[in-house]
Amino acid sequence: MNTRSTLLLSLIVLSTSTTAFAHDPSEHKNDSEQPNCEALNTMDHTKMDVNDPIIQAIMEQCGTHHNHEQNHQDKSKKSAVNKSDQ
Amino acid sequence: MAIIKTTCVTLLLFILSGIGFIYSGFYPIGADQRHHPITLWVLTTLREQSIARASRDLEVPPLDDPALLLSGGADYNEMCSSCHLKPGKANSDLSLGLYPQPPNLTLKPEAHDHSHGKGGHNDPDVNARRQFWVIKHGIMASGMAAFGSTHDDGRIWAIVAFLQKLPQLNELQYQIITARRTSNHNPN
Ligand code: HEC
Repeated sequence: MNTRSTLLLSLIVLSTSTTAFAHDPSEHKNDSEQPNCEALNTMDHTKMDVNDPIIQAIMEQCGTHHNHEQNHQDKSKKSAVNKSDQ
Repeated sequence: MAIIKTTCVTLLLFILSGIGFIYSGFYPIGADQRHHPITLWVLTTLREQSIARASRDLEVPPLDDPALLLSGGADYNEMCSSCHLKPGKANSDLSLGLYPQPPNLTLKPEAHDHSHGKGGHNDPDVNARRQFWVIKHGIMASGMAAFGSTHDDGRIWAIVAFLQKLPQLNELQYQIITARRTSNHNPN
C-alpha cells in the first residue's frame, strides 16, 4: 500500500460517513394546484392515443370522458380525446 | 520474520498516516469539489453493485395504470422535482449544487450522464426495481433520501410508474398529471 491508497481509503471513509442531506420542509407543502385543463384544447389531439396511460391519466384529471355531452361552450375545443372516448 | 515485521510496521504507518490525514483537515469536503476519478469509480461501482444486489429479487407490479401516474405524479412534483427537475426546468439550485448531482429524471435513462453499470438501462424491469429501491432506501452520503420510512410500498411503486412516463411528458401534460386536486373530481 502506498500514500495513494491511504488517500483513497480516507476518501472512501470520509465520503461514506458524511451525514445525509436533509430535506427542505418547504418542498412538502401542498399547494393543491388545479390541473390546467383549458390549455389542453390548444394541443394537437391527433397525436393522442387513448390506450396510452398518460392520455388516460390526463383524461381522468380533466374529466374529459364526461365532456362530450355537456361540452364547453366553444365547439372548436371538441377534441380527439373526446371523440375517441365515445 | 523480518519481512513480517516490516510489513506490520508499514501497515501501521499506513493506517496512522490515514488517520492523520483525516484529522489534518486537508481533505476538501466541499460539494463544489469533484472526486478524484479513482474515488468516483469506487463510489459509483459500490453504489451500482449494492443497488443491483439489494433490488434483484423485487417483483415489479404492473405500472401502466393511469391512477398510479396520478398518485405518483403528484408525489413527484411535491417531493422530487426540486432536485430531479421537470419538463421545462433544466436545472435548479439543488440540481446544480448537490454532489453527487441528482440525475435529471425527465431525460430517458440512457440520456442522463449518470453511470448505472451494465444492464440497468435496457431492461425496464431492472430499471424499475432499482428506482423503487433507491426511492425506498435512499443513497447514503448523497442528497437522495430514503422515502420508505414515510411512504408505503404502493405509493413508491406509483412514483416509479410515473418515472417511467416522465421522459415522455411535455410541460402541459406534466402540469395536468401532477396537479394534486384538493377535492375529488368528477361530480357526476
Ligand atoms: C435533495 C435532493 C433530492 C430529492 C428531493 C430527491 N432526490 Fe433522488 N437523488 C438525489 C441525488 C443526489 C441522487 C444521486 C445519488 C448518487 O448518485 O449517489 C438521487 C438519485 C435518485 C435515483 C436514482 C437515479 C438513477 O437512475 O441512478 C432515483 C430513482 C431518485 N433519486 C428518485 C427520487 C424520487 C422519486 C424522489 C422524490 C420522492 C427523489 N429522488 C427526491 C437527490 C434527491
